[in-house]
Amino acid sequence: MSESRLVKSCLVVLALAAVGCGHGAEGAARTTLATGARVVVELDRANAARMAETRAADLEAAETREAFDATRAPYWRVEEAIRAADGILRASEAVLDATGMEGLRAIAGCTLQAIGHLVDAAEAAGIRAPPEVQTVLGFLAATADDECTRGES
Amino acid sequence: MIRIIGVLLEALGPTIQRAIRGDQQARERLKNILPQTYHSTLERALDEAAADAKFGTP
Repeated sequence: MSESRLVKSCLVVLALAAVGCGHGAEGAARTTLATGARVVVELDRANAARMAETRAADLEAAETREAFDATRAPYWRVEEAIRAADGILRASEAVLDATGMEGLRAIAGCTLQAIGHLVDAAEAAGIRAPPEVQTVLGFLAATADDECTRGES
Repeated sequence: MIRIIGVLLEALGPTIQRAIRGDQQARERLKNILPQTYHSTLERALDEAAADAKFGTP
């Protein structure tokens, strides 16, 4: 084999490896985002069920609207965190479609923050996140270029 | 587009009102229509409706 053919063969092997790596990372990212979406659905279901179970008793016990609102606030914070996490997971998928891993790395810090807030809010309401959320948080932490600073001044 | 959204909301109105009054079947029907991550949002609306019924609209 001539030297130039050997170089060409090596370049082809390297290119195939690079494509393989790219697909691997992107595939892992898509799997992670899908797992994140399942976590959000599961927490929404659990929070909604808890809200329905406890509403009548909380309403009965509350003497004022302010007292009722204060009792329900932990569930409402979960609802707000679900909206945020759902939105940023959809945005992350769109970014991944449009720009690949480079774009996802830029947004991953904010996705990590939104899912972290959701897990914290759920725990404050007495709802445990499914264990696979740790895989999602770990992947996003390893992928993020930087911490999320959007909206902060 | 906005007219169609208005028509759809008008169609759902009676089901929403029945759910607010505590009709379980209406609530389940709404849950089947809503995207999966909106169940807590529906329950929050029911919280607010229940509080309005007991304490009055703020």
